[in-house]
Amino acid sequence: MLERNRAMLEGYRRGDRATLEAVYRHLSPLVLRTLSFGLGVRSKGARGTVQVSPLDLDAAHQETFVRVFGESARLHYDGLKPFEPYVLAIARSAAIDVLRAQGKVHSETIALGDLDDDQTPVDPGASPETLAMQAEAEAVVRGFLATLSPNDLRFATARFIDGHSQESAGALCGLSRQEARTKESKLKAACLSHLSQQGFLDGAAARALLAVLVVVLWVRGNHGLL
Amino acid sequence: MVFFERHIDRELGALGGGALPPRRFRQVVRHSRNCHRCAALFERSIRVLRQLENRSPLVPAQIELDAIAAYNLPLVMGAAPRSRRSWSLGLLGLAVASTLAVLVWWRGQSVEDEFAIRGAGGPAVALRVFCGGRGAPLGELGAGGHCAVGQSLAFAVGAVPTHAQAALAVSGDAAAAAGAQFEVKAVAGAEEPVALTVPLERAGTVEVSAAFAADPVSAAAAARGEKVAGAVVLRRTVKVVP
Repeated sequence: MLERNRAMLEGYRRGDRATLEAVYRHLSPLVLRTLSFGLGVRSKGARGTVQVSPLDLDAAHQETFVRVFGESARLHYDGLKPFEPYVLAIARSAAIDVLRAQGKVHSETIALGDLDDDQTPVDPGASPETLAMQAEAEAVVRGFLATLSPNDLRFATARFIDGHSQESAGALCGLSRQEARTKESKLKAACLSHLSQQGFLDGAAARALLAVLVVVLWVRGNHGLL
Repeated sequence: MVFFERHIDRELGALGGGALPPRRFRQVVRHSRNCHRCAALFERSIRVLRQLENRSPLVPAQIELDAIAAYNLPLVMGAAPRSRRSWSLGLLGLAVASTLAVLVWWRGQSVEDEFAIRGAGGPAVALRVFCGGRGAPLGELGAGGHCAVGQSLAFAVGAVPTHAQAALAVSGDAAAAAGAQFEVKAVAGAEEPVALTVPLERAGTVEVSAAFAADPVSAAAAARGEKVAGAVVLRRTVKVVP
């Protein structure tokens, strides 16, 4: 971005507000996606990953751009290296600091770059926690789809399972662009409402499952089955 | 300050339908941070929305991208610097301040020749300016040297560890303003190149200023023309001929 646009680079370096706003609008989605995907970290010599939860995402995003727009970051950027990796390195560091301030990571935790020292790619998306989260989310969505009428199910399957775009899924169901947009909004609201009624969203279902599991283990233990 | 007193259950419809305005979204986030039950509700809702939209609970939903970008923008811009005068005016001030600083600190000694700096009593720092391109080999510019339109300037610096943070600024009517800030790892006498080249676009003059200090903030301040104790500013003027 800035490395190919000299006028923009100079605007950024001197803190021109119009340039900073343009940088913000261009890079905000990338920063949010990168942070949300998770961070490779090193703590006490061990590698691992941490998730920036949806509740922490806005704080990490805000801290990132406060730093990117700070004088030190503006003057340290030499205009030769690609700008986006420079911003993302700041974002990872800012996110770790936000999580550290909340006591969610150890004080010695540091963010890893895209490649660790041993040049092994860091892929937070492949961690067991992430895979479990993915499996749970898929199961929840499939459970919701089972409650839909045939018409809604056809659209929802195309859009939410097969991964068609909103417009493409609408076209498959004979819906205009606006109709598809409206249907998707209603389906997503209905999904959250359904899951809330099921007790899934506030963790009641998960707690109930955990309670049943504990009771079963206790009974089996008392009968010498373990 | 606006407090969001209600729990977020009633906002789920608007959240799912993408109809939660950014300000309301922020209120939901702030409330959820202090409400254990709402935190779980919010995070699970968001992950379900992400799964629906992107088939991944890790990729932000559109409402997150839109709302966070919208309500963080004024907060971030509030922390950004206020608009300052143009870069060229700033550099003009820098050049004047640098000239005064040189006159005061070096008591009339010329800094046109970088070799005059070494061992002159102050911290050993050096700035070397090179000219090359347009068919001509890269060569160092001595005192009073000139360069031609179409060629480029390159630089090398060295400094003692106590002045290892440097800021380099280029201004003048012969080239677009440019600057760089970096740590100097080479000492004076074994200078290292600076990752900055400046194309010379028209005839005129180019002012090159290099500020050296113990920390980046002091170097930047010195480069801006501020009086910083212990910082050293070197300046070179290069004539550009057609």
